[in-house]
Parts: sequence; C-alpha cells; structure tokens
Amino acid sequence: MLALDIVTFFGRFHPLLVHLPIGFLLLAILIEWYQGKKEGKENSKLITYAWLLGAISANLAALCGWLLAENGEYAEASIFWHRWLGIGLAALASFGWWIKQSSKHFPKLVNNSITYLVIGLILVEGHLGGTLTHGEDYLLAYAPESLQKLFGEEKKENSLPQLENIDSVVVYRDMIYPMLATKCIGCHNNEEQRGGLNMYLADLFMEGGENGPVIAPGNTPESEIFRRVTLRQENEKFMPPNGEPLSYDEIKLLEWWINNGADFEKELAGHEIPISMQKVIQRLFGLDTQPKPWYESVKIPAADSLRLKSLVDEGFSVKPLGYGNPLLDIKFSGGKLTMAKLTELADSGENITWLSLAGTDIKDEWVSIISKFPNLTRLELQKTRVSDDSVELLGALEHLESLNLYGTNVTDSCLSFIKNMTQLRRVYLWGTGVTYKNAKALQNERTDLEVEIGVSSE
Amino acid sequence: MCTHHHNKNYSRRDFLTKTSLGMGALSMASMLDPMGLFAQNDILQPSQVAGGGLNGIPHFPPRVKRVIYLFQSGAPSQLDLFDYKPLLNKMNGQDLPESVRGGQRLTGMTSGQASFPLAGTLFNFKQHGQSGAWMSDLMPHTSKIVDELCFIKSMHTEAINHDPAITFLQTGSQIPGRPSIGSWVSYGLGTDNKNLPEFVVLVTKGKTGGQPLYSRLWGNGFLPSQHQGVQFRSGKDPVLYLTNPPGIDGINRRDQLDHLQQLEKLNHQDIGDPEIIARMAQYEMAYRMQTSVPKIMDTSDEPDYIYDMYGEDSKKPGTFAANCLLARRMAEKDVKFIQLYHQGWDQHGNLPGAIKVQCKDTDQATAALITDLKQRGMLEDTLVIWGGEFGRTNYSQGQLTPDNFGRDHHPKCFTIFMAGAGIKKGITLGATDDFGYNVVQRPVHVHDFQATLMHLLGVDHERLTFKFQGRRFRLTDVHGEVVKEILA
Repeated sequence: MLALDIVTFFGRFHPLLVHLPIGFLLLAILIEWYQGKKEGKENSKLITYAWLLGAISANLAALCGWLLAENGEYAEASIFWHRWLGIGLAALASFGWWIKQSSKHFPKLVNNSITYLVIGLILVEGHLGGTLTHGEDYLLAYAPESLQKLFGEEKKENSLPQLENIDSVVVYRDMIYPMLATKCIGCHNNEEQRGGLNMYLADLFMEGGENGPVIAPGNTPESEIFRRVTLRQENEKFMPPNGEPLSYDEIKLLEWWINNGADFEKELAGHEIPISMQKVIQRLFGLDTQPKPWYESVKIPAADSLRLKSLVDEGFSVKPLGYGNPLLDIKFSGGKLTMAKLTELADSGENITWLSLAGTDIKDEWVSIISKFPNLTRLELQKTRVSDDSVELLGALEHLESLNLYGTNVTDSCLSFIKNMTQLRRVYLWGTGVTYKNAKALQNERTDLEVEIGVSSE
Repeated sequence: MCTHHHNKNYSRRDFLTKTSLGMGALSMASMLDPMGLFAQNDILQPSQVAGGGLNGIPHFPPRVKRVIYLFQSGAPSQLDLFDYKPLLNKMNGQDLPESVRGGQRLTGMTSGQASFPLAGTLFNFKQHGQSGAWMSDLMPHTSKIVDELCFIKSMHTEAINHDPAITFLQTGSQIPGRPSIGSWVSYGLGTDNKNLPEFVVLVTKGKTGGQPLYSRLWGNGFLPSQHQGVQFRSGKDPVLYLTNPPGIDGINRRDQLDHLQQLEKLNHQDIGDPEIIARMAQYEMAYRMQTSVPKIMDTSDEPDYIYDMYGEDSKKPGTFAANCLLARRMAEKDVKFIQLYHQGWDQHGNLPGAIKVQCKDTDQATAALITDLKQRGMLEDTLVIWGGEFGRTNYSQGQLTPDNFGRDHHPKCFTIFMAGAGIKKGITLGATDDFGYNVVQRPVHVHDFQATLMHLLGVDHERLTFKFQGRRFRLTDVHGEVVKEILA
C-alpha cells in the first residue's frame, strides 16, 4: 500500500500544478498578440520562455493527474475526457514551444490554430476538472434562473419526495436513499468515492469506506455514519463537510433505520412505528403512518339485505359506510328500543362498525349483546341510563376507538375499565358521575386516549 | 281515457337512450358479477335504505356526517385577526410596492387612489395553545381553542366583489344559477332525519352591513327544488307559512294532503314533471316540520351554564350566538348542512372600530359552539367552518391615520378555519408573503376547499354530477383538488 500512498501523495499536487500551465500559456499567447500589433520587430525571447514553462508545467500536471486517478476515487468513465484532453494539451503545449524556438518560419495558419486550440483546450479541460472536484452543479448553482435554463440546468429540489401510500413504501429505497441523495451521495457515488465510500449502491454502502463499515445494524453509537453526522459542526470530520447538515428529523430517521437493523428491503408497513417517528415521517414525507382505522382494513361479506330491511322497519336507520362497503353505520331513531330489537340487530352484528343508541332506553343487561359486535369502532350511548356495568362489558370490544358516554349514569369506577381498553382513542364523559380530577388522572396515564370531560355545570 | 297516454313524456330519442343504456348497464353488471345479478345477498346500496340520496353515495366512508358553516359575509380582515404581518407595522404608511401588487386589479373603490399606504394592524397578536397559532386580541375566546382548529391562510378566490365572491364560494360559480353546497349535499347524501330539512339556513338578524344576502345563495339551482336550503327565522314563525291557518287542525291538514297526494299522483302519471314530486315532498316535509320545528327552536330547556358559554346574546333570538346554539341543536337532530350567515364584515372605513363589534358578536359563540360540540362527542362526525368570501387589502382604503383606516376587497389571499371531524387539529396550512398580499405557500383555491369539503362527506367531487341543458355539472365544475395535507 506504501507505493499507492506515494502515488497518491504526488497525485494530490495535481490541483496545485494545473493552474501553472493555464497562466503560462495564456501569458505566452497575450505577449504574442501584443507583439503582433507592433509589426516588424523580431519575436521576443519571452514568448519562447513562456511556452517552455507552460509546456513543462502542463506535462507535470498531466503526470500528477495520472497518478491521482490511480487511487481509484474516480470512475474511469467520468475522467476519460479530462485525462486524455489533459495529455493532449500537454503535448500541444510542447509542440507549440518547439515551433516557437525553431528558427524555421511556419505559416501563420499553423501558429494561429495552435494558439486557438490551446485556449479552447484550457477552457474545456479546466471546466472538466472543476466539475470533477466540485460537482456537476457547482458552477451554475447560484446563477440567475434564466441562465440556468439556458444551460438546461434543472433546479435541484433539495426537498424529499412526498409519499402518498404507506403500502408501497420500502424504508431504504423510498426514505433513507432519497435523504442520502440530497446530502451525501454527491461525494460518495460511482464516480467519486470520498473516503472510499460509495453510498449509491446498497452493497458497497454496507461494505463501508477505507476505514471499514460505516453502519453497525441495530447499533447507532457504533455506526460511523451516525457519529459523523452528529459531530459538532466545527469538527473537520463532520458530515456533510459543506452544504446543509442533516436536519433533526433526518437524523432521527437515520437512527431509527439503523436501530431497526439497517435493512435495505424491508417495507415501512412491516415496521411498528412509534408515535414520535410517525411525526417525523409525517414532517419529512407528508406520509400519514398512523394505523388505519379498523373499518378500513376489515374484509367480511356483506350483510343480508333482507335482514337489514327488517331492521329499518324496526326503527333503525341503516347505512353502508360507503359504496360497496360491507360495514354498516346504524342508528336507532324510531320509538322505543327493546331487547328484541337489539337481538335482531345482533344477526348483522359482524357488519356493524358505527352504532348510535343515543337517547334510547337501553339497559345495562342489553349491552352484552353489543359487546359481541367484533368490528364495532364507534359507539354512541350518550343520554342513556347505562352505568359502569355496561362499560365493563364493553371492554370486550377489541377495536372500539370512540365511546360516547356523556349524560349517562357512569361514575369514577368506570375509569379502570376504560383504562384497559387499549384501542380506545376517544371517550366522552361530560355530564356523568365521573369527577374532573379522576378524568384528568386517566388522561395523564393514557396519553393516547382523549378523555373529554367538558365544561363544568357549576 | 287519454289517447296520448303511451307517449306522454318520452320522446323517441328518450326511449332509445334510456332503454339502450339500461340494457347496457344490466349486461355490464352481469359481466362484472355474473352470480350477483339476481342474487339476494347483494351489497346493500346506500339509497336502498337511506333517506333519499343517490345510488353509490357516499363513494367512500365519510369522515363527516354534518357540516356547520359559519359564513362571515362581507369578508373579515385576515390581517387584523389571524395573519400576523409585523412588516406592515414597520412600514406603516409607506406605499405598497408595485412589485408586490404585480398589477393585480383593484376594485373601483380604491383604483383611483393616488397612493396605497400600507396599514399595520392596530391589534396585538400573540401565539396561543400548543400549536402556537397567531391570533389577535380581537378573539379572546377563539384564541383559547386554537388547538382544536385547522387554519388555512392561503385561501384565494377569483372574484373581487361580494356577490360574485359569495356566489362562487357557495355554488362554485360566480354567475348565479348553480346549486349551493348544501343543496348538492342534500341531493347526493339525502337525509338522516326525515322530520327536518337536510339544509337549513340561519341569518343573523339586523346585520345587513350594506351587503345584502339573496336566498339564491342557498338555492337549489337546477337540482330538484326540495334540496334548497330552508331559512329558519327568529320570532313567532321560524319558517314562514308553516303553521295552519285559524280553524284548520292537524287532522284536517293530513286529510287535505292525502287527497292532494292522490290528485298529484294522477297529474304526475299524466305529464311526468319531476317538480310535482318535489312539491309533494316539500308539502310532506312542511307537515312534519309543524311538530319538529317548534321543538328545535324552543331553547328553554337549555341550562343556564350553556347560555353562559355562548354568551349573553344567546338568549336574544336572531343573534349569531342564538343561531350557534340552534345550529348545535339541529346538528344533534342530524340536520346535514347548517349554514349561518353573519353580515357586517365589509370594513372599507373605520375598520378598527367596526371589527371590534363584529368580533364581539361572533367570537364567544363560535368558540362555545366548538367546545359544546366537542364535549358532546359530536366533533367525532361534525365539521365546523368559519370564513368569509375573500380577504382584505394590506393597504388603507382612504386616509390612514394613527388610529383609523379601512381595507378594500382582496381576493389574492384570505384565512379560514375549520374544526372537527376528519381534519387535523392545531395546524396551519399555507402562508402569505411578508406583506400579507400574495400566497407564497400551498395555495388553496375555492374549488379545492369545496372538493375537500365533499371528500370529508364521503363524496368524490368529480363524481357527484347533475345533467342539465345537455351538460353534466358539478360543484367544482372542472376544477378542484382535495387538500390532503389537512385530512386527519
């Protein structure tokens, strides 16, 4: 490796040396033009000297450039033209010197073409080299928009893609990679591997850079990539070295991905996403990862429409949730509710997801019928005489998300049952025997549950 | 018998279209589901059991079952209520830079002004709640519930004068004649309570403020006429001509309607005019409303602390506060679309003084309505909307003095807020520039707002259409994108 180190050492003089031939050659040409104006005089020796210096430095720069390319940081395809045009320029500069020092008189055409060719090559070669060092969009990044358009430069969106549907999202492909693409991959790609790291290809990314792997799956403190993006920004090891650092959300996302095993294939849907990460993902990608309401995921056959018609005759208003949806939204709105009517409802119980028995004569004993509706997500029992016993029975409803008990006979004793309803997200207890203090205590204990106690009537 | 019985209302063309399409639809259905065509256990279609409404609607599960739209007619100044622009105070009195206005058209009221002095607000702004929403001191009650609200600060419209702008917001077209939002909702979704209209309108009494409201704003346009909004008034007769005249009792009325029904049935068989059905439906509705309306309008059963919540005004029939209370009572009875109008926001001059009065009229009741719905668990499926028809300019109309100014109409940006089912709470969508003149982030067009509203109700705004004069119309015409960012 020592040989390669020496090669790289000399190679790195290339950026220093390249500026010399540019200066010498342009100087030579300028003097020549100046002299051309004052006809009759013999050509100055200065011109020959300038060409000589230009030729020597061009050859040296080409040599160092060749050595620099040896270290493999640059892909052959991207430096091909830079390499051979550079060698061409060195050769041309040497040829130019040879003509100038020769005592033979060459036709004007030869002199002029060499001059213009050298100027052209310096411009092209300089730009190619600059692009290699600073990146594709360096030159025009801050140019006026009209100029960018003229050169077909697409304004690079520094924002992340907005995702619509959780189902098709692969964590690495759709979230981690686009994030790395905006901040890291500019210097760690197929063309250029700073520190020997290529983040463009997943397997090379896993392999790491010249100091070994940068990711330790499941272990962020040991992951070099995480360490480097979270260093103090003044630290010279901080990544990215220039441009915008990773945002808080992006660092959190990276951390979460590494802690979950840094998997390149796993889908987002396969992850259990903690609430804090749900918010991060929402902010970065505009993607709502909150679990879907139960009624959107359930698949069952439709209820018997004849049975439903008879329910309507009994005073229930029956609506499907949506077109072609087997789930039902049912409300009792006709006269007196009886146990017989509720029992009839139970025949279609599997299909009921929203049920309102608000203001009815429902009794605690009848609630056991409702507590067997497996897909019930929203239950309205407000302004009825149900008590704590009913709430205990309702604990059997695994998917209940919203429970309205305002204006019922429930008391503080129902709170312990409510606390254990893990899927419950909203409960309404205004105007009941539940005290404000205990409702707040439950609220503090269950942050994922909204406990609505309402305004006080005092 | 009539000899023209067989061709009474079908032309040859009608017959061919209807039968061929009908057969087409039938064969299509059987192709898609050969077993299902005559099956008994087919999936229940919404209109089979619901009260009216169209087949296939809702298109998808609704997040919202009813809407209370608190329309602030005249256009409240977003710059003095929600959209905090300190730059305007810094540059107070300086001319609006032409580069900001960008040639935007002005109304005839200020287009002749020699200068457009920027007018900073005279009211203090503070951030409130966990969401940190900016609100001015003008709305102390609403400020307390900002964590329930979703602000859209980037609303923009096309009209620059009141009538076209309200008509645009309410019907999707600046030109009168299209059905209003409530009528579309009634037509598409039908009723949840057969004893009350699906679409009710309440207008604050005695607040004309120079800008009239026309009943066509809640009109049915070309939809069948039973879908028009029914205005409930304060006072002895909430719905005009609803009570029986002296000497006629309920039994008499029922008898009369039954006979009329039979006659009209014959009439309809004869000439087939759908408006006959619409009219009979309205007669029947009116009959049922004779008992349901007095019950809902009599708020004497509300406890005192509820009145205290809505404010002193809520005991005076016809005020905005009393209407908010009524709106809640109607929502409890499943009225689908409840539209309140509160006029008087058109402050071309003397804005600082006039806006205080307006806020005093509306602030407490608005906050109380949302809080009240919340404690009853009704924000679970009720949406409340607060907003006007456009915004107001950042420059003063007329003379700008240290304690007085006016603001002209401004269609390029305005703020509305919503609360309730299906939308995120405690968020602000969109932003305007530092001058409060142009939208710079996530513009929301009136049609986008309408599309979102329909989406929340479970309706695809592109699929709820009505064919009239050879063209299919919809609320959002050929525009409108659902604003997904605010959906919960």
